[in-house]
Amino acid sequence: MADLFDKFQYIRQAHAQMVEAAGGDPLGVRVERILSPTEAEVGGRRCVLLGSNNYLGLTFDPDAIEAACAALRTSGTGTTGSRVANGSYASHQDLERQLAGFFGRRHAILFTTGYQANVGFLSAIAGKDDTILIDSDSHASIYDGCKLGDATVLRFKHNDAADLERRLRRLPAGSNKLVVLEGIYSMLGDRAPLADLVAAAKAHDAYILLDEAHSLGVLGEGGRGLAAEVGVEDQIDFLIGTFSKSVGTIGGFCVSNHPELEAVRLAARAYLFTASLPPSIVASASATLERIRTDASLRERLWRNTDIVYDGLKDLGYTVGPDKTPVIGVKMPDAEVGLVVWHTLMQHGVYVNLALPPATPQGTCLLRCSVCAAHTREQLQTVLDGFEAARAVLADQGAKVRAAE
Amino acid sequence: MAEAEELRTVPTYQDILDTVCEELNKVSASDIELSESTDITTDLNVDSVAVMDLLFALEEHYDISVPLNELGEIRTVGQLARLVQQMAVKS
Repeated sequence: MADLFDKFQYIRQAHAQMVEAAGGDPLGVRVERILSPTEAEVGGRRCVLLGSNNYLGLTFDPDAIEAACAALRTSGTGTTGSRVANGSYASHQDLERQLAGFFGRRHAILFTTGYQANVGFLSAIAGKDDTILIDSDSHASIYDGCKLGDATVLRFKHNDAADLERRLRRLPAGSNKLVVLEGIYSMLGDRAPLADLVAAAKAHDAYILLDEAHSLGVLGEGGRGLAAEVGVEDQIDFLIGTFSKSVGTIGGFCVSNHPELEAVRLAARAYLFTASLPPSIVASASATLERIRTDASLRERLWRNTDIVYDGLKDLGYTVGPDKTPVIGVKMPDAEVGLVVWHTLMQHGVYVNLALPPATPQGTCLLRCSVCAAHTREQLQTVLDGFEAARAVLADQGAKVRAAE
Repeated sequence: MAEAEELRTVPTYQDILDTVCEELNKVSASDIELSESTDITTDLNVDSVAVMDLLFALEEHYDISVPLNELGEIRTVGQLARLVQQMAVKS
């Protein structure tokens, strides 16, 4: 009889080859000790964390830690069930009101993770007569949400408003259409050309869902994201976000002015059948959201640091994504070279994410960096020194590849 | 007259098959000669994301939109060509 796990053989083989080439497992890194938002001990070595998505460095925010500890003591470690079964804690509802206020919307729904926010909302909202149009570089949670739903799903070319418009034009007038966009794309760090995409969608009366996972706390007045920065917040029907990046904890949400948003609570299976967020997480998210709203200096520091890393990598001759954002995708010629460079960076005390297809666009291998407001000048110098050292390795590897050809 | 117009605009299955093969050859590193029964994933080692990307070229060529929902069942070159033809007829 065939083994149930035979189907994974090719993944295991590819993984084993990768581990051998990298001299360690880039996808299974053990962080022995987390020292701060920007530093950890990995493999007995202190590393600057340049792949954490912790854009504002709020994972050690003292107010958030205090609030979380207080909530643990008063309300326990977990809710042990979904809100429809076990009830909503007052703090869940208070945080929903806070989120709605933060974004200037009438309604907000919390989910247990950002992934579940997209999967839950998308799979629930679009029925069999509806069409969802998604950007080709959409996050896996958007693809998965679409796959679980009954709507017709069309994929348009990444950040291409003309391609979106063509696809909308082919659809029957009067049918429900939902265009799904992201503020900053997670791999190359490029921004959506939001004004053009919104204009295309609204010209065909489509609803718009914008996932601000990587832009919340990073862009726009009050850290409200790309829609706020571009001035199109009133055109975005549903805004999705996560607490696992700038907010520094875990959780997801959807905010909207749509009067029927509450129906999602009764229809989204990822809401109905998952335990709700623990009170300590709710308390820390509430504290950091308030910090994001009121402390613009965090964003200023983040963008100063982004200038240093993005410009520094370009000056070193690396190919980076087209837009300067705290998400910096450094393109590698192929996975083999990417692995060696990744390993070299680790040896120099710099931790970045190794990103491989299918998670990356156009089958590229990326060293994905995310900048943090809390990175010090010294840490960023370590980062650039590491990349400078890796440049020699990159040239050497490139020469080997050319020789082999 | 309307019928003649339609005949001119709807491509034949063979036309579409040729175009599908042409586009697949651009993304596949395999030397296998393509036929209708060639399995896109197992014979050509073209992954699902690459299939979605090559779909862009076919969609542009025939001015159609192919829903992702329809792609799940597609295994062979012939099945992909038939799907594109169905969409071209519908549009």
